[in-house]
Amino acid sequence: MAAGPYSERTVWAANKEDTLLQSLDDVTVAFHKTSGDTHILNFLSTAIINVLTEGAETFSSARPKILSKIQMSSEDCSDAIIVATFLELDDVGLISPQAGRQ
Amino acid sequence: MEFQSLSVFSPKKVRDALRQGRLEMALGPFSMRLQGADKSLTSFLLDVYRDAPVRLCLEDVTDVTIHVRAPNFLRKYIRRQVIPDPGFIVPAVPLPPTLAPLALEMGLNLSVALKCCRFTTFHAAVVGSDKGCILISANSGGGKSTLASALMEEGYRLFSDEFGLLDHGNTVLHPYPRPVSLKGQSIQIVKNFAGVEWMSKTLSGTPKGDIAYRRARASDIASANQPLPAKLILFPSFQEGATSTTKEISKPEALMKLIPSSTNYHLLGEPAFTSLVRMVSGARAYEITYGSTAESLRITTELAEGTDL
Repeated sequence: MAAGPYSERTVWAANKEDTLLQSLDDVTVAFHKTSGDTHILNFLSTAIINVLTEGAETFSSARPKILSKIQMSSEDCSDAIIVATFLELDDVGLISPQAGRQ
Repeated sequence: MEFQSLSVFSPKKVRDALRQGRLEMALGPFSMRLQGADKSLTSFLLDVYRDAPVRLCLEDVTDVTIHVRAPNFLRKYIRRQVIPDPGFIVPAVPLPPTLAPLALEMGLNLSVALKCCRFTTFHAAVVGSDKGCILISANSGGGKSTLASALMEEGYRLFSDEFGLLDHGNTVLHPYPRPVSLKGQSIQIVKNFAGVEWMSKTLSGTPKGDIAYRRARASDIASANQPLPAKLILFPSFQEGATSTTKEISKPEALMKLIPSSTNYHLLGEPAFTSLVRMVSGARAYEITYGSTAESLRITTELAEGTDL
């Protein structure tokens, strides 16, 4: 499902109409309506989806909001981890780059 | 016409109704129209479904229609065979007429698994106390039917040996107390503790080896309209001679283990996800490994006591 390659200017979004999120124990489970797949999300994935559900963002503009949601600094949660999580979420369709806005 | 226990009708009336496709049975949330001409089918129903409510007159549209019939004209008369016809095309291995009961049971399972959209269906055995249910999810050979039978002896109600039927509205499991299907060595094990009078004749030479059925009790059938929430979810695994182990698993893990056992989760989508999350939220889940029925029963009753069941 990944459409890459991506750049710093890629605008990402999560469609809240397409994904159901439910808390279960200390994780979030997500049901992706388009694929019918169910996913277990860790706190970082949940934060990314929540930020991108509130509005489309580039990676740079989303990063501080994500770190704020998980209450971690960029030293504790590196860009590499966040980028990797973006790409994993893109792979399963829970977030996607916005057409014409890469 | 009111539903009455099958046992009140004469064999001739049952046989005639079966031949003419006007035997309607109501079990839990499903009404089923049954049809078939084989003597073995009549005998099986009169024995194993003796306490099931039926009427010998088709008055309503039914949820399920099963016609146990010959696969083609030739096999109706020469080297006779039967298949279950649930009203839609499914691959079915033709069976000799003596195995018509198996064709019926397979057809009923297929119909519920493939046609039921009112509930999220899981391939699981379910038993219940007056406080809640134990849902037992296992692959074939995992011992769920044997364990369910053993729990019946401990006073648990039989909900189903094949299906967990999860209600989308209030997240309860509905009973569907058809007979418990037992294979191979499980037949003798259950005979030993339930008594031979509770068992059907053994069907030999089936594609899955020997199969026999443990009859649902009249009390199981009488309470088939009383659904209950799941309190305990078990994933048993039988390993010959294994040392017993019990491991509590997280609710998300239980959720992900249950999804593949559902026959309609991906078809139903959102309501199935939402109700499954709610069910798992309200239950504790365990993986158990055991080497004997006695051990699986001991572990399960201990877990049930710990869960206030």
